[in-house]
Amino acid sequence: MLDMLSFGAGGWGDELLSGLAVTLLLALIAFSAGTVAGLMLMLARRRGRPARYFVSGYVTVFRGVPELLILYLFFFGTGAVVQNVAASLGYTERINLSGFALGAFALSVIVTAYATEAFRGAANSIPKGQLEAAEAFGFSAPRRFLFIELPQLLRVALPSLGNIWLIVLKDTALVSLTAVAELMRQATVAAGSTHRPFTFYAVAALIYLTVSFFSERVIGRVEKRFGLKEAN
Amino acid sequence: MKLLFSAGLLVALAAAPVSAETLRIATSADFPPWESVDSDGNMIGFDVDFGNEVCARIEAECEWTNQAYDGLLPALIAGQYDMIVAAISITDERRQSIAFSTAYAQAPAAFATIGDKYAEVGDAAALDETINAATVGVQGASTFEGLMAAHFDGADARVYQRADEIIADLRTGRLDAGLMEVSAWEEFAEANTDIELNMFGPVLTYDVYPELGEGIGIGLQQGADDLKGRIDAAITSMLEDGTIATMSQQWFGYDVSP
Repeated sequence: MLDMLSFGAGGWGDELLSGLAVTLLLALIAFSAGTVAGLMLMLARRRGRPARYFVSGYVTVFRGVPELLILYLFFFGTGAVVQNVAASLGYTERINLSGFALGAFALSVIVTAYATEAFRGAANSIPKGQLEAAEAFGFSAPRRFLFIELPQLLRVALPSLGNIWLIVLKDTALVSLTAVAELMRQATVAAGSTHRPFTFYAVAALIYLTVSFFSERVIGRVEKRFGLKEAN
Repeated sequence: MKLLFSAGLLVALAAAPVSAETLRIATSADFPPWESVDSDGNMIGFDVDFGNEVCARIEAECEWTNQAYDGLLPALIAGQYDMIVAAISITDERRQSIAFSTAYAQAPAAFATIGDKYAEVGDAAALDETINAATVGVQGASTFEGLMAAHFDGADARVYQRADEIIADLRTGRLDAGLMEVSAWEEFAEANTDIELNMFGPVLTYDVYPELGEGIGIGLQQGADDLKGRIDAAITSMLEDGTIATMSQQWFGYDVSP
């Protein structure tokens, strides 16, 4: 059994490792893009009623529809849409959409919805008086946000963000439905090709668990250093 | 958000257009001996050799993609591939959404179980009686589900995503029997020597069970008539000169030619 997991020509270790790399890359891209976009959506929410409705609509849709379904729509829907748009612009060459890019984009869209809500909740915890005081001291709106609101908001949002990271890490497995050879897909291929499903699924589970375990440690440290615990 | 959107699109579009004679082939390489991956990460199997030979004969360059079986047809319909070569049975139901090449293989199916409790099941009548009183596992998104409904509606047919899950549930005793292609049973029997996998009853073929489809074909986009014409000619020539029979002997140990 161990030689099956070895690296190099004889074993599946290198395939699983490359799958892990793709999984981590997907999760990192989706998490960073999603948190930045979530922060922007949270700010956009304050720009009057239409913006608020738009953001609530976005959050409701992408938190309310199963992740798998969103990924399906992106993978099998966007191809046709992009092709039609290109054709209407007079571009008839075939366009190849990369499964990795679509997967990362779809996951980012999902993370954005959750991050928006995390930031909104965190922003609510900051007393209004602080911002009024900053205004009285002549802080411009961008500086108010950057120096007064953002630092406090981030530390309140930290536990939620850690949660979102662990969720997106596991959601990357959904991308295995397409041509992206991430960890779950590599495990499936190895399981099918060797007829040893239990071995490879157990190993994949262990790898996910290991990554989650170390993620939790890192999140714990960041929280200890910057989070609310220090304030108490 | 806008920024994210355009950035996403940019990345997605960066994988620029491909020249017209590069064909995109997809398969799901987790179904040996039809298609699988060796521990070097190379795709191997009957379909892979067959697909490469087809590409050589129609003088096209082929780019293989390995992706999950469930997404193959939707991706073909969405235009992400030109051909899917994944032991796909030609059925009327699938014809409504994709086109097929002429059949390049015929894969008979059979019921199997662990041990010899059904060893005395001989003819079709005995098979009917046995299966209609049994719990049987079949693979989802495959033709066997339709076959069970049409011919063995008394059976408790359970649908599984993957063939190895059927083996796992045969082991635990949740299933009395499973229904798969003969080639798949042979593979599993070889890989699971600790259990005694035995096929029983007559082998199921297209003439009695039309749900099995008219054979195994290459899945193509509807309307790709020119490509279909060239591929059909290539398959016909490969059947005539014995290329498919030779490949079949190598991967299955018998001839799957239709």
